[in-house]
Amino acid sequence: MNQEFKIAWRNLWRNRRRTIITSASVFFAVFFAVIMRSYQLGAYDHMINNFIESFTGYLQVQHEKYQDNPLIDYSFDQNDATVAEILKVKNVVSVAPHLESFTLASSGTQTKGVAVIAIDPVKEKNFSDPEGKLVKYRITDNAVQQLKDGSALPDDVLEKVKKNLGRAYSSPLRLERELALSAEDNELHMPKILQCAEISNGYLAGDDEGILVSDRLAGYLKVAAGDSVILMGQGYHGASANGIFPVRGIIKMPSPEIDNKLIIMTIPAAQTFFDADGKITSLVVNLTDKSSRTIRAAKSGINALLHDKNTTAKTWYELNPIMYQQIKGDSQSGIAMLGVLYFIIFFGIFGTVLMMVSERKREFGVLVAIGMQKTKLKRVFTIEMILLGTIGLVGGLLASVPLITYFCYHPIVLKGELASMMEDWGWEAIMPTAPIGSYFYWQAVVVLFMVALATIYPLRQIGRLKETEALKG
Amino acid sequence: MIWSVAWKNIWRNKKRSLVVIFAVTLGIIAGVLLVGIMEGWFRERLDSAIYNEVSHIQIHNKEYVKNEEINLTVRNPDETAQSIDSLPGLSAWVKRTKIIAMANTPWANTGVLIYGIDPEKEKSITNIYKKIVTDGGRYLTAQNPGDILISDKTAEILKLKQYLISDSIIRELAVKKVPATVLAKLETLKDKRFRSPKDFREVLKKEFSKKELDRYGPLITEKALDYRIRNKIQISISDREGNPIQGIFRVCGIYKTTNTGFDQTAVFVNAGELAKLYGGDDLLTHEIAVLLDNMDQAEVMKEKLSHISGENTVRTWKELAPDAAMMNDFMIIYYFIFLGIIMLALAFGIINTMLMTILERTKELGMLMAIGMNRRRIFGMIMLETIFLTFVGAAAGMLSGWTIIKILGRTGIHFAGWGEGFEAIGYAAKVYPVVTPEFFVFTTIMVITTAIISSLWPARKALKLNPVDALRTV
Amino acid sequence: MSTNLFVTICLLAFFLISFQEGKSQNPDATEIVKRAQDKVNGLSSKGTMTMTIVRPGWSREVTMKAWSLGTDFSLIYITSPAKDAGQVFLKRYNDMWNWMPSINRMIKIPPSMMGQSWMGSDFTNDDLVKMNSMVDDYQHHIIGNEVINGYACHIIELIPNPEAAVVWGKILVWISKTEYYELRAEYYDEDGILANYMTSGEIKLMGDRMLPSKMVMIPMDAEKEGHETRLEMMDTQFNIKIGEEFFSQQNMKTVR
Repeated sequence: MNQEFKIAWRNLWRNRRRTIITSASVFFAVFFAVIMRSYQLGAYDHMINNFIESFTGYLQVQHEKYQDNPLIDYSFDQNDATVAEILKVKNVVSVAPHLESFTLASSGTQTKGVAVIAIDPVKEKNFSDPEGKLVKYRITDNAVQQLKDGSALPDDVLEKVKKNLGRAYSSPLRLERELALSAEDNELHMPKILQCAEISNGYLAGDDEGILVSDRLAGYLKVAAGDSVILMGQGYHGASANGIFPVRGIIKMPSPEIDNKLIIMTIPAAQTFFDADGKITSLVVNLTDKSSRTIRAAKSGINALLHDKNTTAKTWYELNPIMYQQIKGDSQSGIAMLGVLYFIIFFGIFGTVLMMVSERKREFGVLVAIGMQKTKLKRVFTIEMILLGTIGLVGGLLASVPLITYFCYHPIVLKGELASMMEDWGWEAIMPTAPIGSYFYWQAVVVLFMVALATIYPLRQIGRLKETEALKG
Repeated sequence: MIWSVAWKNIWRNKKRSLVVIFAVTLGIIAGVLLVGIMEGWFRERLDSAIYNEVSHIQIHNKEYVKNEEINLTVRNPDETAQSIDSLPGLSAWVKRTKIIAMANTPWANTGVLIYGIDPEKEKSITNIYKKIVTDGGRYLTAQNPGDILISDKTAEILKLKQYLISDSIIRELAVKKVPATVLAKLETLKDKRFRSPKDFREVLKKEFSKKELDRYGPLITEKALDYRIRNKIQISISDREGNPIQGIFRVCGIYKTTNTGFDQTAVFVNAGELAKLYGGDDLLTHEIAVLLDNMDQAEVMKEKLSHISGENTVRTWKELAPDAAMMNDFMIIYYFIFLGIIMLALAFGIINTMLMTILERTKELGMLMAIGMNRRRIFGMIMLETIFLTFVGAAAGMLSGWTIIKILGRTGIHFAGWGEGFEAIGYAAKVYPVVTPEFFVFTTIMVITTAIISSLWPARKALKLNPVDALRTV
Repeated sequence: MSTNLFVTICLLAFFLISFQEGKSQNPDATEIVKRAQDKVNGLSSKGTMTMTIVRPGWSREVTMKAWSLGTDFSLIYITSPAKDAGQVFLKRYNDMWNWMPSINRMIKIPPSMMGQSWMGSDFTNDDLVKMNSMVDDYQHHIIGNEVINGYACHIIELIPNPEAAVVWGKILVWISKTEYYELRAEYYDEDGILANYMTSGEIKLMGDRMLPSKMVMIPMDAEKEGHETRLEMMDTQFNIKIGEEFFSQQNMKTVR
């Protein structure tokens, strides 16, 4: 065995070029497999994580009957001690309380059914971040008029502004991006545009009695910051819930359906309104990552410490099974693509190996002719392949590390419409790679498997070798 | 002369040639498959939104967008109709009455959007008529004016999705080899009506062990399912003066799309019958849906329609279903990155193989150089060989790629649900790959280009060979 | 001669009277239902009521004053508990209005809200508005007899008219034969399953007539196990002097 190993080793170094080329095929195979998988997991994960984090949270603690009957009657007592304990559970990043229900909103002659989500203004920043969605600038008829009358705005710039009539923005950046003015136009005119389009707006503080109204709803009810909205409906145990609420700010929700009917208020205000003292409908929990292990561990950890036996922790996929199925379906397509890549890289290895064996036909012929047993030759060849494979593998893995790590922390930044949409949803418009994880090693395993497969045919060829023909070269 | 030498070289070493041909063929098939899968995957998502819900363009009264009230009909309907008819690339369009309503049954009530449609015309715009569930009745017809078509989700909410174990069902299950012990337990549940899937599941959970449930649960649930077709639903709307009006419709069928949100609110009746409720002979139009031949024309057509139908809001599918649109855009970038990676992998694969090929031909090339063939000619010869082989491979690739996509496009690719750690997830997804001719050509050109460029470097390496070294045997 | 005339007149009168008697002794089913309804509605009424909402784990009491005129008008003024007090509900024909003094707001209940429970009870807004369609929307048949709490009752089956916009498959009512008390009502879906039922009892003198003073409504949905709503009429006067003008939006704001 030792002897064969030495022969194999020497063979490799005898013909550097051949060795390099063959191990290079393995190198590239691993390299590309890892990069591709990393991108798949990274980019898609980024989307899923953003979605989970801003919509359902990784876990939610609810009354066990709440999911089937989202009624305020299935609320439970808010308990700071429980929240503190949950925060101590492994991998829990943040916990935000919610009190949600439905009611009628009215202003002037307009009335509409709305969803009320009561939050903790501070804690919610880690979650759906309403503050980040506040409308700070709006291009109204008034604003356009002001710009026309007041400043020396060139016609084409004014036209661009007019094109976006009615649009609302949560930051100067968004407004700039959408107007897409030239750099100098931007510098010259943007301040004036911002000034005219600015609207007063504010967030909620502490146990504020005010509300935030979603943009479309505000349009329908014809209210702005400073006006009032009447809410009326039924609260806890059927008690009448009626009240007048001052509007503190307008927020723009990316999904038009939600934007049509959302009211946000503080939990204390909602508890008074719904006559649900001290009650909440859910605790939204965000974790460090969404691997099933982390989630399951966190879920059992939280369930163990819940005192109120009517409540239970549910995972995001239990709360949203359809989304979960869609995501699973999508990831299967990703695996199919990976499969296609595997085909290609397998070919890369196989083709190279095949050619290598072809090139060495004479060499093998000579060896067998001078007396080396075929089985021994096969063993030597196998060892060569193993060595080549290992060199290529390790090299490929190492080479991919800096690339993956770089794009993980400095990901590709998306631009344009897609970026705007993603930001509307509150997500970073980037495409990151996934950090090094188990997928890394799986790719290595797959490639090793390919190397093994690629070795089989040549071994058979050696077996069928006829020295005389081989020697002919 | 080089040409004939190159050609003969190809046929001389079949194995080598085949390897290169195969590389190109594989590259094309891979590229085409990749495109096909991604395209099929996007289409699946988009199609559902477009063909079940939003079509390519929709027109509404400006105010209707905020509140679906009965009086907010599309303005200037005749002019708008004319301008739609004159659109190039128009596939079909329909008018719909669409108002907010309450649906009531003895057990439950829920808010719905009631669509008053022409059932036949609607078939040219949406695929809802194809989405009737098994044992779920039938689609809406004009011959039965009092019909209402509701979704599986709505049926569930209104408690019309019920479960019943009867003698005939027990017999059917026996035929399907359900064991007697299970059947005996079902006997105790016989003739009891369960008015929701949840109730039924709870009872099953109580009666059966987990193993029995896993094995026979789905089958039992499937057989016991009983949609209450022909039961009545009371619909309440506000007529044009704001007075509450009620009418009775009978369930004719149950549909189901992949979007539960849509399903939950959309119910369909004959427009004429709905008009009887709100009085007046006019059919009110709240929504116009337009389908084009090519969905990429949506923006352009929207501009056109906006000019003529200015008082209304004209929106494309991207605005109506922004999440589908966002996924679409996101996926395109995703796709380009992967195509890039795969092309790179292919390129390296080919480079490697070619290098090895050159290495294998060291002696032969050395010989040629020794007998006086100049280096440029040798380079030309190698490149020519590569080009020939590439084209042969391309032809083979296009043919087989096209065939594969055609076949898979019909059967679909099933994903049995394998995760990273090879955990079976148990969710089957189907993708129907589809490749547009443009993509096909594009992929082929890409692969040919990659192959040829990848061969440049190895070919140049060949030139650096020293004839003397080359002639030496191993 | 005069004796003959006298006897004839007496006989005629006798026959006429017994004819009337006969009629009132064997009225048809529709007539029975109508009389039972009239008994409760009268031409007009005014009274106080207590509604108790019972749920597993809790219950709630709401007290109110109620006025009605025929079957088309009614006005309800909530007197307790504090959070709900001051609210007024008005029914005019098929419309329902709600006045909320705490926010100085009057709304007309849109169809989308008609299915919602009224004040959290097992009655919906719709029930309040459509409580009296039993006579007009149904065909009536007597299908049997039963004794409830000592009262002999007709069991009458109500089948909805084809054009009637009602959700029920059928309704069964138990109406006492002599007094026309509606002692029990069962509401069925089209598959013959009982969806909810109402029982009435504790006959008392209310104003100028004897009536059941307590009513209980019990939903049969498995999800609503342990739910019930009780209505108790504390005192009621009938045939009071009241006109249509009383049932107006303006009056909603001033009534006490």
